[in-house]
Amino acid sequence: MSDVVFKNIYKIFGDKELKAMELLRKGKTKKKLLEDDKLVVGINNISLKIKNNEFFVIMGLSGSGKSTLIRHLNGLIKPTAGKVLVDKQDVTCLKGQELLNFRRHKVSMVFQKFGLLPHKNVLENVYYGLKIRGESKEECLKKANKWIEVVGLSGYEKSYPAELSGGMQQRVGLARALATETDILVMDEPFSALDPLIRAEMQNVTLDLKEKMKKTVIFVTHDLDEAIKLADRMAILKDGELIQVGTPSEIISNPADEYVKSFVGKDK
Amino acid sequence: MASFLLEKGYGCEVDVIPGTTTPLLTALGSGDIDILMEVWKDNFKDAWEKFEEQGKVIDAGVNFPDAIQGFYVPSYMIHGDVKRNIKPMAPDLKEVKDLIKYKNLFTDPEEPNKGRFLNCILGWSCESVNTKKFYAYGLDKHFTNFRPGTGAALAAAIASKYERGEPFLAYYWGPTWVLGKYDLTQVKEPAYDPQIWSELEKSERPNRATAYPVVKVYIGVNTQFAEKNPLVMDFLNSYQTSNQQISQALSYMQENEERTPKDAALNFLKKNENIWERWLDDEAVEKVELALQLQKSKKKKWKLDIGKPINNAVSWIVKNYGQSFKNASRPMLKLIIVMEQLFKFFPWWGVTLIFCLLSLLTGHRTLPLIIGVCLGGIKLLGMWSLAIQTLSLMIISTFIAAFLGFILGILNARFAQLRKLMLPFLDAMQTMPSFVYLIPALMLFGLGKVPAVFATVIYAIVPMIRLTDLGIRKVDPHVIEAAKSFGANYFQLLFGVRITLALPTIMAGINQTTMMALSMVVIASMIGARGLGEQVLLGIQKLDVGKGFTAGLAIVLLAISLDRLTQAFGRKLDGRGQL
Ligand SMILES: Nc1ncnc2c1ncn2[C@@H]1O[C@H](COP(=O)(O)OP(=O)(O)OP(=O)(O)O)[C@@H](O)[C@H]1O
Ligand SMILES: [Mg+2]
Repeated sequence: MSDVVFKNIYKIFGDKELKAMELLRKGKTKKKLLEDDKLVVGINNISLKIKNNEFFVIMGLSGSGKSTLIRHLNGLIKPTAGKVLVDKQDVTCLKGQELLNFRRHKVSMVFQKFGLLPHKNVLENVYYGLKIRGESKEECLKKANKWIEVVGLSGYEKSYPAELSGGMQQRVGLARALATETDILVMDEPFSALDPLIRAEMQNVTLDLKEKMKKTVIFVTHDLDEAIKLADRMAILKDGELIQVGTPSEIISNPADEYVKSFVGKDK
Repeated sequence: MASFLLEKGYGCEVDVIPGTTTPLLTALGSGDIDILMEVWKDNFKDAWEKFEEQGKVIDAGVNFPDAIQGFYVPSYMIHGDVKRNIKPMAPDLKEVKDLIKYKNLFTDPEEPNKGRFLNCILGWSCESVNTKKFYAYGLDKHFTNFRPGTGAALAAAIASKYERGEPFLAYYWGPTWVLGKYDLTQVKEPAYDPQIWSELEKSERPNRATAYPVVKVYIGVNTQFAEKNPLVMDFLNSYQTSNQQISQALSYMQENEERTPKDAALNFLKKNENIWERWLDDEAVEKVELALQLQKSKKKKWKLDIGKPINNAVSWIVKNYGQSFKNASRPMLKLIIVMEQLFKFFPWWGVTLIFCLLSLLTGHRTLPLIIGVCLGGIKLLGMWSLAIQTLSLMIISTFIAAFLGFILGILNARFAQLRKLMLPFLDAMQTMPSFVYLIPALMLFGLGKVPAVFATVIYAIVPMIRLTDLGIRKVDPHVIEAAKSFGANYFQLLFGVRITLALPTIMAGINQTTMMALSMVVIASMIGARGLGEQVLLGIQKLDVGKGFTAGLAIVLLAISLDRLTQAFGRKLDGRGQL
């Protein structure tokens, strides 16, 4: 129920971010910035609009800036320049308690490396986001049990992450993100660490949820099949720049350049 | 002086080895050193006579015949000191029996209804003689018998009290720089009487006592060396100085910090040729005279002198803030005493039971057995009440070190700048020999338990800081990022994630801190903390290897119990994180 707008986002890693911004705007190339100033341009002027309830996939090779881009959405990374608007509100301006509340109620995230709390069991992990924002114990238990059932982990409530397989751990990660019932769900290569069979199974779980729930989902992957299977629309990044945006079929039939062609070409 | 005369007069190669009496005496017996210039036979009777009977050592006559010893109070207590604005506190204090009247002036903070008597160094003969004297004079009921572990501790205690103009009662002896530098008055005892003295030596609880005899201090020589070097023996036999001469030489040194013992010796030799020429044969006299003329005054080399400013700073703090430090330390002293009393309240098996029950909490099955055996062993060795004193001191030190270390560790993990700043300090705290800060701590807090805790904390806090810091920083960043993404605030992150996940490492820190605190007990006893460490020290000073070993074993048993206990708690936490 939320739309997301990235507006001219730049992200430069290094001490002299702002000076680097100047140089970049004046036309100094990314490569020269790295060579001369040891500055990494993570995101180079990306603007993107993601619609309400859309399942939006971001694709690109390793190092193309996918993770960096989506971490702008909940302020885990601050841009060097540009705005991130969620429902017209600029996330980059949020501070302190406002930012915490935004993270607690607006966006939830699933991570490639799961990021589960190893000292908490499945149940406790799933209601972590709820507990943090101060919901009552009953509320926590009720919602957690519901989402554990949805992702198919009933019976494992008392298990610890280290006792579960990778696929099961990511179900916990998914349930933890869903339990907060935020409008926006961000998934950073959630299934990359899983083997093909389990990955397919998880994709089906995700598709299932997509039908049932009205949510804006931003999904990162470098697997084209996965993108095609899940995406309403998708974007392709290369070296921190946005190359092409469109529905999967548009992109396959009409690749913008050689880079995109090499992506989609393999599959034909 | 002797080494200069031997070198220049007889062409000997001389190595000078400074050290404390007991190891030097042992080395003399085994021939590792050949000559020991000061043997206080009366104070080391047992050890000396043992070696003498075995034919390992002989004496080469008297070094100085008029060494003095006795009970001293600062003269300002009796006469006041106008310059320092000190009023006479005990104008009528003349004899030992007057001490009872003034006992409140000497209050012992660890036992406030008694005065504190700073006895001779633990394990020396004078210490037991003084103890008997106090019994004979009826002073034992009014004064605690405080035995410093080393000469340095006793001198530092006297120096700091003197600087502050406080009253004290101490055993001391001369010739020493202490008697040279400070204006002390000897408390009169009945005149020396050989009959009473021999009674005193034989009886454990004598009813009469007298002043110390003026004692002769001898030169000790290894027998084999003596047989092989008759010329040197002739020299040593003629060598004789006096209390007054030595005191002069010592105060010459004390007047100027730059002056070394060698400077003092040369100064003495230059001015007193008539004395030393009697010690040497004519040929040697000529050689020494020549050598003395050739001795040029040393050129002053520039060096970074941090010693003087540090000395000035310490004595400034002692003078101006000494009292505040003492007052501040009082609650801690209370805490330690209460802790001791708590442990003493339970019988030994009660305490053991408590520790066993505690170990059951870890879910470890054999641990209660190990702890039971270790603590039972301490009881069996007859070391229980001493172990209790050590344990209370240690628990408090460990608690303080763990708490402060935990906080500092968290701050270090948070602020990289602070960590960089603290690193050299941490290195220094771990490697700086404890005595370097033990003595100033003693000057600030007075002898006893508090400076012992202070020094232990400084030494033992380091692993706690390092491991807390490390544990927190090495927490998986992915987990932290995930927690952040759900809106965890700083404290939720710190306590709910960082510290919780770092707990096994932090427990390892507590374990290390405990072990390091235990390893400080002997050093702590050098400044008068009682307990197992004191027994070890006593064993060493009296060359009673068995006694030292017994107490050492008790320390090991205590260490094993505490090590296993803290480790088991650590593993329990670790298990939770891993599963
Ligand atoms: N904290 C950082 N400091 C410096 N450079 C960074 C930092 N984070 C990311 N980068 C750089 O930014 C670029 C984009 O990284 P990012 O992690 O967003 O890539 P990605 O598309 O998610 O790759 P992958 O598919 O491997 O996850 C990379 O060149 C990376 O080296
Ligand atoms: Mg990534």
